[in-house]
Amino acid sequence: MLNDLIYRLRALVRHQRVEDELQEELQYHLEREAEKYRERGSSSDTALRRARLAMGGPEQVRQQCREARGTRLIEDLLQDLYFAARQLRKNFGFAATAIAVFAVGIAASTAIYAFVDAALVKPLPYRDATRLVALYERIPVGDRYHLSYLDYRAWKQRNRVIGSLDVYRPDPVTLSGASGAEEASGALVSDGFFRTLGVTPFLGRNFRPGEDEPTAAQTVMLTCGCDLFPWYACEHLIGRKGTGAI
Amino acid sequence: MTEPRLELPQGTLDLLILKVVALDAMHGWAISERLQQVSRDAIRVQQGPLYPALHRLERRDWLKAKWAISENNRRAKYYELTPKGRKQLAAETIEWRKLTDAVDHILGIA
Repeated sequence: MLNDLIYRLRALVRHQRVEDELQEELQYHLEREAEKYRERGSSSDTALRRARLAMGGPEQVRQQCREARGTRLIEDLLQDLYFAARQLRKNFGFAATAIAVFAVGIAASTAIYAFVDAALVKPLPYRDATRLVALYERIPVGDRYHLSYLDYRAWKQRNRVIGSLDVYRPDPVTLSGASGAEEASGALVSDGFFRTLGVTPFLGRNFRPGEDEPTAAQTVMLTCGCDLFPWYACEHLIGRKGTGAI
Repeated sequence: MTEPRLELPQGTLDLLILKVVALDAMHGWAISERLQQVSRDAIRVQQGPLYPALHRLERRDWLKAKWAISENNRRAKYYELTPKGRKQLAAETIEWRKLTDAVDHILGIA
């Protein structure tokens, strides 16, 4: 087993040497064969011709010996690769164009896959992600329309299919601090929103029932651990009153 | 010479090479000559199958090759049996005897 490996490795690494040895070995055979015929009285030319005839196609024999080495596949592959590299170097413009097109193609498909993977393949990072659905209202104007508040109340009361139903509306907010004002992505949500998703706050408390009523005090939950609110800054914010343009 | 030469059954060449080389280290040409001599010209091995077989046996570590100066003062590749090759020769000889005995037996009945 080990011997076999060493043998093959030598045939690969010292390829030229092994080929030369094979050539010398076969040449030796040919000469001895010709010598034999000369000794039997053939002329020098006839002897060599007879020896060649007895030997069969020399290239064929060499090829079979290469196959016996068990490295034929790799040798052929290397040869093809060298050939391909030579061809590409000869047509540099073509090669550069081909490589650029490949690069763009690979980049595009990688990007698309990354998107599809995040959007469709990977499950949503919520508890029971497979049971989550998005609901829209279909009206004569279009398929996916926002829900009116009253419809939301009616759906919530009367539906027997959805376990818990909550709403959100994307709503960018402006945060003003010592370093100036910044825009952050935010959303207005109904009181049970995070319970429906199965998200519990890392610090502080969840929204209480009724906290989404117009009369209730406005409460916020912040995404922690992001650039805007590093986790160590969050602790100091709990229970504090802030002002913000919403 | 006039008698038609025998076709070697598959795999037999390996066995014959091992046997011939068992006595003494030899180069390819001498192996083919020896086979021809010993078989009284019934078997004549061409280069075509001989050299691939030698290389295959070397790869399997049944033969060991070394370059040496030949009887006519030229560099030649000599093959000799390894201990592994000797074991293989013994095993294959037994197999061969079993096979030919069985075939003989069957032919004797019919």
